[in-house]
Amino acid sequence: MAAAAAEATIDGGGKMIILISADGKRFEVTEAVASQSQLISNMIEDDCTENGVRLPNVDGDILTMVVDYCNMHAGDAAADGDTTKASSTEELKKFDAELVQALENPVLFKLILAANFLNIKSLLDMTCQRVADMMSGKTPEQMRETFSIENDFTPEEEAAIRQENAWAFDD
Amino acid sequence: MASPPPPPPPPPRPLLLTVLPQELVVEILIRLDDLADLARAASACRALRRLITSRAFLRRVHALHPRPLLGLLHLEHHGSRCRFLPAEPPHPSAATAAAVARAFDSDSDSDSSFSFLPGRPGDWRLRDVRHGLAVLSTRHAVTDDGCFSFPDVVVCNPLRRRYARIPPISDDLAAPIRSLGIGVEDFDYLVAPAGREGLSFRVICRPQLPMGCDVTVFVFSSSAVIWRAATLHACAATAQLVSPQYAHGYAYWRLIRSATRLLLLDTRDMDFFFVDFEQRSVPWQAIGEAGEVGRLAMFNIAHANHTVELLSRAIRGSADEHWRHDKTIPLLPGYKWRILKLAEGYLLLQGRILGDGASQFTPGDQLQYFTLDINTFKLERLCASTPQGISYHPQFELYRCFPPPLSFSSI
Repeated sequence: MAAAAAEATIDGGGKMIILISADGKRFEVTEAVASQSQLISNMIEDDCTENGVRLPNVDGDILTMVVDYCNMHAGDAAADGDTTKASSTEELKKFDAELVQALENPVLFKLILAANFLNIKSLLDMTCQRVADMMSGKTPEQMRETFSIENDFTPEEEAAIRQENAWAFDD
Repeated sequence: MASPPPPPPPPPRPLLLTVLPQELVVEILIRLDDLADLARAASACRALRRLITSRAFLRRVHALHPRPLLGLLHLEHHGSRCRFLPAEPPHPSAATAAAVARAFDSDSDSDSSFSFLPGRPGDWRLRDVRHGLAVLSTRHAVTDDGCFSFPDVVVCNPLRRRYARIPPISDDLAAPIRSLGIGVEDFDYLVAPAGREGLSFRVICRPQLPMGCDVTVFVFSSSAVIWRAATLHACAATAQLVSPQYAHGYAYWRLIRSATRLLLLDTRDMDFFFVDFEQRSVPWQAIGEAGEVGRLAMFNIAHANHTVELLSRAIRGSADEHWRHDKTIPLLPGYKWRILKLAEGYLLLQGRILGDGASQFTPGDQLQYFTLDINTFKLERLCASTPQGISYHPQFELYRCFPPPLSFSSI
């Protein structure tokens, strides 16, 4: 998303670094924005971001979302810096909800993997919570359907489990 | 030459689990707030079941969620019938408790929550409940020669519907009691978790012998699979023992004659000792576990029914250690209070709403049950019941445990 990258250039005025996705897409962000990733923050400290940061585990479409998220949340990370740009709490909540709400499972899981790899705790929290919310209140059958889980219990095992866990079932 | 059989179609891949490494699946599961969601997830496939029931994961669940107080077990007819009273809204465990009540109710045809036990329903008497484990015994029999046989004993987890038969007490160990040549009137039984994380349990058995006999208590350890015995030789101080209880590794009884003493047994070292206390009438006093491990608490209803006062002392304090006044906790006005039980981290109180009319309880009046948390001193309404008859010594057990498959299984 070029717009987000362009905005970032104006933002903060910090030193810029380039993130390069698995499929070669380049994202220019400020160090402050990128530092929300503990992985990149460590690289910045070690002075090894000079030639761009290659992220062979993260596809361009996923990295777009991650960069959007980090741009949006740069305000919380650098609260003592320029706060006029920082988004309001409500705006952030709305943005976060919209980011994960519409995602298909495979994309959501890729985003979890990217958040984990880049070590962005708040994004990992939010995406894991989203999957947990999708499981909540569902029967085992509905969970299998939602997440393409194969029922690998034998009928006998399943009957035994249902009996042991009878309290958790409505019928 | 037959053509090679076509390769079998690959099984559908469990997407959630192949895309995400196990530690991330754990991060998702730990965010499920409702314990029932975890139980249902554990029923979806083997991999999720393995993860959720692993020791490491359950340890995290137990650290995040307090062991839920699911409700009360109301024992009737000396434990041969038992009714589950679930925690009611707005109690925080109400949702889990309602689900657990359905599991108990599915048994109601047999008029017992223990229909999975061997033998005929009605053979078993529920004797004690702790940490979700129940100990039941058959009716004991006095044999023709005036002697007796020990009852059969099982320890079970009613929600898992699993039981373990407790081996009989060996003839060697029982010989001193048999040599008395007297019939035993009844037996006390207690069950208590033991070991780290309650992965094992103990059963405590005391034959109720007439006054003047030695006191013998048998303790079964599920990890060692042996019974041990401790005997306290008859002395002036050993009167009749009543109200068997358990706290912090100690079994204890009130002495009925010298009404101001408790006899305690350390169930690990198997030695007896006494603790003195100032007696109050039983419905307004309970002695048992304090919030702090190693201390004994005494709760008294005081100040004309308006407060509970808490005193405590070290269980293994010196003989002349005094009870220390720790706290006075206000009760809700408008109720007639009595104390039913001190166990599982709670003082169980019964409140009868004071009306304009009768000052005495009449059948059909609603009784409210409240718990006082012995650590936070929070008074919380648990449930209500409307007894049809008058019972002067109602027996209630607090039912507090993680339901399966979220509990460590000791059976």
